[in-house]
Amino acid sequence: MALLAQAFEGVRIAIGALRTNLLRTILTTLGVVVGIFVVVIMGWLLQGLDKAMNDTISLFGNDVIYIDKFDWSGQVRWSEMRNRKDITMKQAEELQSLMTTPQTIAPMARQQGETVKKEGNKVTDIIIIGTTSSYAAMLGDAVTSGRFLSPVEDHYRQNTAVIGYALALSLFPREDPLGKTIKIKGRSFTVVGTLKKRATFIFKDVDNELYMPLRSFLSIYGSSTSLTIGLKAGSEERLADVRSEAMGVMRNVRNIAPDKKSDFGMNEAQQFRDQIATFRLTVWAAGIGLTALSFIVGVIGIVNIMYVAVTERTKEIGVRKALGAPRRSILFQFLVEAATLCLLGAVVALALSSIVMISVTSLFEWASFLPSFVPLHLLATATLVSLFVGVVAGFLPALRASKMDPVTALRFD
Amino acid sequence: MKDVIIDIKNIAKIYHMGGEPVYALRDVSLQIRQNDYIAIMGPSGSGKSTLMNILGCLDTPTSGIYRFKGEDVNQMDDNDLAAIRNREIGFVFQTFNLLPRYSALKNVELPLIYAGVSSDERRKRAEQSLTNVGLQDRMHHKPNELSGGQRQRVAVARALVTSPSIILADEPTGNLDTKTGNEIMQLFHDLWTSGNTIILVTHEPDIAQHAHRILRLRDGLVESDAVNPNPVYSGPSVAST
Ligand SMILES: Nc1ncnc2c1ncn2[C@@H]1O[C@H](COP(=O)(O)OP(=O)(O)O)[C@@H](O)[C@H]1O
Ligand SMILES: [Mg+2]
Repeated sequence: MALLAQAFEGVRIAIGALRTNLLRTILTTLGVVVGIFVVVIMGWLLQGLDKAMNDTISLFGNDVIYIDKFDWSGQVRWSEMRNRKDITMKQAEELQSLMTTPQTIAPMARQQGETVKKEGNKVTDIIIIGTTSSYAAMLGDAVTSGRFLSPVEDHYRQNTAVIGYALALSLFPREDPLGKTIKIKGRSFTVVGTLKKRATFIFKDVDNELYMPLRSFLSIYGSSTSLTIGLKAGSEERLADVRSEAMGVMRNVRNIAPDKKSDFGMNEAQQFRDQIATFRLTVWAAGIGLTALSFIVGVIGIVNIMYVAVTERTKEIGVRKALGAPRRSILFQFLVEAATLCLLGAVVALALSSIVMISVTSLFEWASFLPSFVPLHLLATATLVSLFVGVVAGFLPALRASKMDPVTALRFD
Repeated sequence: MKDVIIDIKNIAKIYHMGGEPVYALRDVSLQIRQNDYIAIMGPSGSGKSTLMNILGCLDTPTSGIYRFKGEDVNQMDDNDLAAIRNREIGFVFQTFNLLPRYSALKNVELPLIYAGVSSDERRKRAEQSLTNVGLQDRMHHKPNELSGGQRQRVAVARALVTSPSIILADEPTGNLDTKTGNEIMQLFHDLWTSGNTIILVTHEPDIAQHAHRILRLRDGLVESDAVNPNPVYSGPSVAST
């Protein structure tokens, strides 16, 4: 009860001191403001990165392995991978017939930088993917209108296409794309389905993809492209089984001697986690460095202003002691005052970071992966950190105040 | 005989100034009983303020015994002394020592905050205390909006709000003109009449004549300690009219 009254009093004194010495207060709390600002912005970026990572992982599927000539992790030299033999349709079919653990197997072929035309309209830089109806399992619920490619279309090499969100929007800004005809390399294709918006911060191109039956693809681009084979395990628990079976079968299919390294990559969405982790670490390190620096400046500022406040109010401390204030009350009063200063700094910092967040996310398209408001846990963190800094910075000045000799303090002018 | 509140024996206080000992008090013994009204007199530097600081538990003697209501003050730690000051002693200073940012009411409430009194109760008691010194119309004024006499009344109200055993006043009229000083002395008279115990430190003989007992200090020693046969009474106080 008494503590609460004293806390309120401390807050009131701090605000009063702030008003009478506005400029001094602003200057001395600047470090705390910058510190909290950096903490909040850093947390915001990390939260955005985590979301981008999770989006990316779910885009690729967390239970899917992609067998490819190339290793996507960046750990194998490009010159080595480039000279590997292509993964052929025959190998894909063999693998498909030999493997038992995956839920679904879908071979894919890919061609970048293509142009898709429609009467009076043309979109460039499109990624064409040839695959089978099985690939639907890997898309999950991404098909928003129409349907995915059917086994019949695949088998009879029919010219049907499923188009990504951005492509659909560019080709058919005002009409329903379903049933419409588009042209690829002079051949007509019928749109049978469209996909939802799937682009992530890391993979921005996926909405400019077009899916067609694998056999149609091969008849256009020839059978010389190397395939990617998607293996969907069905659940993350079964991933390990699929991984080891795929490794054995694929080595077999590609006739690799037991003492030789595999000449293909087994790529999984989890690998992106490692790549993002590095980026995350960079943000952390930069953020922690800046934060530490500004908090050191901030603590020095608060320590200073509190020593000045204690000296200026020596007489007041003497009076309070004469009236019966115990040491802990004086200590508490100045701690509350320092914490209030830091809390006010945090409020300013939160206001500033909110402005930055709202501006960045509304002005820049690429920033759409970031939250557009201060996340609640950052609000709590900022508050706690500022209280902590206040208490740490205020401690020595408050201790000096609490230990003052009342007679000496009363005589102070 | 009335209860002994303060009992000091052979108190000495030695300060050290650049290695040289300064004997502020050499050997002072004294008893103060319930409802005493005592003036401590003496020339400047005779040890009045030092004695008052020790009596008020703001300071501790270098040697000697101090019992407050039978308890040995020398054995008390900082927090015990703060508690004694809070509950048992009401200070009135020459320079008022009000907190300038606070209203009269808040100033009077202050000792009650440290006594752990709830906010409603604090307010009620502070209002009563200010009313008792005739300041019911000035409760929300800041010290700089009050006259010297009014400020000293606020200080008296603050000293009384915890119902202490003793009022300790160090030169309470030192910063006031004669007329206002007399009004404050009338207030002390009223307090004494209603049962309070008052220790008044002053170097002015006119002021000391209001007390019923006069103790004279010289060079840190008690020169005389005698009953005042004819205490001055200068009429009813403003507060009670
Ligand atoms: N804190 C101190 N340090 C050194 N000397 C002091 C201190 N306080 C008081 N004195 C000395 O003690 C003596 C008594 O002082 P004080 O009690 O203030 O006298 P008075 O109130 O009667 O004028 C003086 O000589 C004064 O200089
Ligand atoms: Mg003096």
